[in-house]
Amino acid sequence: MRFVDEYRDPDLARALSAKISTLAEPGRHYKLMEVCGGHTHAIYRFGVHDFLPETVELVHGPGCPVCVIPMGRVDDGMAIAERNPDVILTCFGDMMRVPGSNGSFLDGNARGADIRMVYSPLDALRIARQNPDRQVIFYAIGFETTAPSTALTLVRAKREGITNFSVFCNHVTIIPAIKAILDSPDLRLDAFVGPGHVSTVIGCRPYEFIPRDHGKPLVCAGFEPLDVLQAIEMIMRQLADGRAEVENQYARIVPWDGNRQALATMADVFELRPYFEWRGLGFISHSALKLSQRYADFDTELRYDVPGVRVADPKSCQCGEVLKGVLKPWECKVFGTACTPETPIGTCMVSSEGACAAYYNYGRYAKKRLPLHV
Amino acid sequence: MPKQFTEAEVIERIEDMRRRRPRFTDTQITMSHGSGGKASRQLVEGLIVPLLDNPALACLGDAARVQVEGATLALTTDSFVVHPLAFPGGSIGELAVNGTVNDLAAAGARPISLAAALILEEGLDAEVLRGELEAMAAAAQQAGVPVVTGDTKVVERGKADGLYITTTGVGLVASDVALAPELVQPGDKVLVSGTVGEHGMAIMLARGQVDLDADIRSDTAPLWPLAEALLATCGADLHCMRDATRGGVATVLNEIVLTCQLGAVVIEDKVPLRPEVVGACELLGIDPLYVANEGKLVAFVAPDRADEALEALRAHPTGAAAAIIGEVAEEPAGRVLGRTGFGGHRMIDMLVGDPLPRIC
Amino acid sequence: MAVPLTVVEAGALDARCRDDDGREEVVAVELVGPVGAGDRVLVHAGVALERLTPHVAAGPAPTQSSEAVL
Repeated sequence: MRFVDEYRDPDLARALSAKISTLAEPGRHYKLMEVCGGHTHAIYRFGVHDFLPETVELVHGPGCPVCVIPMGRVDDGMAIAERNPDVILTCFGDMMRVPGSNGSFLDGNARGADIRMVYSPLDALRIARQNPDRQVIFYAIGFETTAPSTALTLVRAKREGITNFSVFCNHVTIIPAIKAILDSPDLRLDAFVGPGHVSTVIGCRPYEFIPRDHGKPLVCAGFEPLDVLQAIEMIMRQLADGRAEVENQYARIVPWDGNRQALATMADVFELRPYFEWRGLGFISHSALKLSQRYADFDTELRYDVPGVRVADPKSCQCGEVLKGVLKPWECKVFGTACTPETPIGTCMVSSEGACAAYYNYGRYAKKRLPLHV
Repeated sequence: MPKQFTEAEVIERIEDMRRRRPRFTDTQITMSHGSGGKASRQLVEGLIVPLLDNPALACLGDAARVQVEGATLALTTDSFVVHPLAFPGGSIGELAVNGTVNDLAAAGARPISLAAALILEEGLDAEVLRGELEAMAAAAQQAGVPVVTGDTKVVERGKADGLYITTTGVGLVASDVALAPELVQPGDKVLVSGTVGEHGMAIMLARGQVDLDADIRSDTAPLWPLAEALLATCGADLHCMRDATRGGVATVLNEIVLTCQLGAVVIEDKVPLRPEVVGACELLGIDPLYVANEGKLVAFVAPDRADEALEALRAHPTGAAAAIIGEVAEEPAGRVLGRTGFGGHRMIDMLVGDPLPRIC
Repeated sequence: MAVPLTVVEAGALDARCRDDDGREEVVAVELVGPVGAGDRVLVHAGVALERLTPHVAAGPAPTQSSEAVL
């Protein structure tokens, strides 16, 4: 992938690292939140920490699609798959391991349910076409990056008149989550690294309230390690200049106004839910999507008897605090002991984008400075 | 108020847990137990080994060593349950021969002969079976190891996925061969015999779950010629070899450092990868270090012999893309670190369950 | 995970796309308007989310000064 390699150049990384160190005011501690789980993953996967001064701290945000799914919604999906033998439940790979109170979808398969991993909701629709005698459900998760794919799939299903396909919609939206973080009293952040691919769809304008109302910079960033470092450098420059603005580091991909066609398709297919429960963050109003009236025939929640029971997180689980950035992964009581990637208690330990799993899998080594020129 | 631990204490506590013998506490078998990662380790070391306990089994190598009247034999067995039966670059019959030959080779044993047990599902197309037997015969001939005995069972339709093959191999270990994770030393270089991740990715694409079209073929190949070349070139300076199958190179490295309680550093840029594999892995969010191989050796060699070892591997067509991918150090004990092409560091942990594509 | 791909053969709804290393997949392109062979698109979960101008997609590595990219 030549396209990618040029964003992983260690010499450029060292140059940006030096600039960030220069911009950091001596004696000041900086807390920057990367909102998106894709960034959390990239930061640990590529060792971005190794290029930051110790006073620049990255706080992991709530933007991991799998992490914010509450336990009750996992149980709902499982109940539909287990009670209806004609159902093929499909979902993205990293959803398969999320624990519900009755185990994960992988456990459901071991008990005889038919839950399959797909790469795209269009693959789920293909399975529906190939299995006309089965009911195929797509268990949809994700922010505005993924919601357009689900929307487009529903448009096609309707156009083709496919009747054995429906969507169990858990799509969420990023702005209410950022608002919830900003309103949280126990967190003092200096700035945000904004989600790159979400912004491809929604553009940069929806973030303008952050500098305007809260006086904090946000820089939309790409997902290569140099993208993240450069976004941090841009944030540090804003802070040094005393500015607070929305800037776009990822201009090679993110248009300032987003993708209007995708937004129009989403507006046709979805409508806002009055409220939705987020794992750890609780109920947030107007923070999630359901199928619109026009697509009611494809709404799994209307087709099937869904338990819809709210299931409290295990008492020991502190995913909420981790998702809000209040706790670092290793500060959670059960991190790495009772809760590990193979026996996750909370969602943050499941997806490789979850702060806990990313830290456990990639970041768990003594942070003494390792030589870079071996 | 519970005691608040520091980050370093938390990390140390986790290492203590990792060093303990894994326990098997699951109530049922899930697919994770077969993936070669942590769950597999819990099943093997937490249930199977304790119940069948004996010194040869406890070594947990690719093959067990058995002393017979002065000679050292290596014994190994492996079951093949791949779906689909044929995939780009190979098929179950070829895999069943090479897989067992390679377990012997990684143990430093010259493969002598194989036994094969076939489980056939009612309704299996006879032509498919004939084709797989021909593939076994061809692979056996290429590896120079005959299939000398076998068994056949037929199960009812729906009770098996067409065809399962179990092969058992016996090999001879020369008297001067000593290979074990405990022999690995700080400073040892880590070699891999070629490009990684092809078999697992070829299977994933052949299953048709992801709508990708890439020219990725399984790397199934017999490894004894490479193992023999390394043994001849390095002698006692070759400290350990492994066949990097399920769980990939990352899992093999973790198994070794957990046993010898040394650390390994992998220079990610040095890991040989075909661009098609890199592309498919990037797209699916899968780390190629965790993807299965069926024809790749990982070898630990004393540093001053590493270049000769590399030459020896590269002299053989199967090893043409061999590379030195890292080295062993005292620290961090029991862990594998990666130095990324970007210049940062990360842990390379054991795989948890099957590698599942991530979404965002 | 979203990746940039190049359109090889465009239809009204779907396009066959290829990455720099020759791997191909069929991508739904309805959300980015009509595309033609040679166009670059950003693809997530089998759906093109954005069209990239050839200039930008093949663009230079990030510059060292943040002003230059703004």
